Amino acid sequence: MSVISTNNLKKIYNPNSDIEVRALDGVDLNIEEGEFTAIVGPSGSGKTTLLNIIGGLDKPSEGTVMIAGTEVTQMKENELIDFRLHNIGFVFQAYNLIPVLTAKENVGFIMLLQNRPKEEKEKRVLELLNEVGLSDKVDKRPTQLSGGQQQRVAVARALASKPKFVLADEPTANLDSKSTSDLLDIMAKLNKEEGTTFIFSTHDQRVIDRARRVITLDDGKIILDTMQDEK
Amino acid sequence: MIFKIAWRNIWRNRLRSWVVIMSIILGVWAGVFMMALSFGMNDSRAKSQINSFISDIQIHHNEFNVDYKIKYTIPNLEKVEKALEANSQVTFYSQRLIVKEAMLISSKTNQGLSVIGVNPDKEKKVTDIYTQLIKGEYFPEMKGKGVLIGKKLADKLGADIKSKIIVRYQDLDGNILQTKFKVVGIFETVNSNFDGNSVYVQNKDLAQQLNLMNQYHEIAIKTTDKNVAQGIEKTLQAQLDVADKVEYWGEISPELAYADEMMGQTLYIFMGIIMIALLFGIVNTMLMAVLERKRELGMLMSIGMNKIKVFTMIVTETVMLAIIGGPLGIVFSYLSVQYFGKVGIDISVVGEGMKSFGMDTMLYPIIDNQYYTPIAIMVVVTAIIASIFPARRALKLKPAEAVRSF
Repeated sequence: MSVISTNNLKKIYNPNSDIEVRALDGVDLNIEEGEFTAIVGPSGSGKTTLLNIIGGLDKPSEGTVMIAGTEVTQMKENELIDFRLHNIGFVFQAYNLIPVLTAKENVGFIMLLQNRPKEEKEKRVLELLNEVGLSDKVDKRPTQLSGGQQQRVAVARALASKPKFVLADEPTANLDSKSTSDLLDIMAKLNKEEGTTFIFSTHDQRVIDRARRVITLDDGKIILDTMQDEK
Repeated sequence: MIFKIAWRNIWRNRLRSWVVIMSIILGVWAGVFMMALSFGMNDSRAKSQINSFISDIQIHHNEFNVDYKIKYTIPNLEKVEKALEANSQVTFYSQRLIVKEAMLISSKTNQGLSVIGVNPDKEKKVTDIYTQLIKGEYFPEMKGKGVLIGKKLADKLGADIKSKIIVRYQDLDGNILQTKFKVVGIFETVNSNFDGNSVYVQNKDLAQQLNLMNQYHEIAIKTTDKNVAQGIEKTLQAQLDVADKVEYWGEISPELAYADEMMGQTLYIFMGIIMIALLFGIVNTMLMAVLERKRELGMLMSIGMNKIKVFTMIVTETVMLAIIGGPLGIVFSYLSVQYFGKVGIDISVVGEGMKSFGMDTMLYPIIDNQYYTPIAIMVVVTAIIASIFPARRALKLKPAEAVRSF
């Protein structure tokens, strides 16, 4: 089943000017449920723009994005915020946890926004922190965690809302090899065992090597879309 | 959770939050204390003038205060005195003869003068002029006619105890009379203007000259409390004829009564100005706090925190600062007003200037507790207004750009 489907997606900055930039130039893409996909390409190839538009954080100049059968490109801003809350998980390059909340509170925050029952929230938060190997760090604040641990909390937070897919924008860019490896193991496990769909943008060869599908962008176009064996 | 985050957010930068809280405390304190000083000045001025010469209530012929003609003595004196005797809230009263348009003749100066004729013993129970003598005695037994003059007048005339002054005035028939008085006491009240143009003589001396035996222009009345004087005035006026005009101190000297009312309004204007200054300070600080947290706010909006919640969070942070600073400011103000209200503040450095306005040189700040609640509300409202601009700024952030900012 297709989770994400884009049709002739274009994003043009400064249209009809000397400094016009075609960040995306007719991207057609289908991502199926349960994929573990890396979007790669050189800087300026359009990876982040594509992720932003798929994630409802930006609007395309042309084309449509369908998520689980719903077209999101025509949604108003408030509708998009609500749509993101219930359908999309985000993992950011710089972790972006709420510094004044503990790991447990950070993970549970999104469920609070969803008005989930307290008992359900408590249970799922502890389950997720256990799955990302941080059951002993539940009451630590971000400043008391390493970069790798913070990113694992971010992954747990992204999953807390039971999203249809998780978008991760260069999630390993700030991590060392060990933390990168641990994080990828966790995400691969969640993908395999829970069927969570992960889409990464990355430059990191270690991430690319672990992806089952690699989409290569250049100058806003998909130039290569390959499936590879699991490592 | 929003409240929890907001609360923790304000302590992320303790110094900055305390700077805002301190500015709120100081703003509230400065406003309240300044106004307490002003209320204190008013109160001191009113008390001094009432106790020195006005008294709580006065009764005159209803035309006396129009042109102060000496023919306008109290029409129904017996009835008035009976009413006063019967009123339990009237503690004492003193009959006075008043010559407003007298002239002081001396080798150094000629000037207009108010001559107040009193019964010394009765006057002691109504006003405290006898306690304000800085020289001489309060109408001692003597031959001739004694007079109490103010220090300012004494200085102007170069007069001292036993000096003689000549006062010229008209009798009932318009004949010019001239009376020589011997200075027996020099008083100094808090009102230097009064000291410069009023003298006290004995009723018997003036009555004889004016041929107004057992007639009086004024009855000065002491009540149980100056604040009940208005009520007593109404009661007495209802019992007396229209010709016997009863006035409480606020009507006799309206500026004393209006001063408190005006000061109350000034308090809000003054606090409003302080709040505007505070508002800009809070806006600046909260804007900094928002801009420093662009990435975090971008993340919150990305993951699905809606605009209302983001807005509420920023407003809540600001209001929390005000809720800490406002009550602390009010407590600090209350304590300092209470303390200085007891020990007073010596302003004798500018004492002479103050005396020309009828004020004492010791200031006792005072403020009615009713003013604290509106001030607290003003602080919170200011904080809410101040938070709107930073909160709107937060809402204008584009999540996709904000999450990547540094």
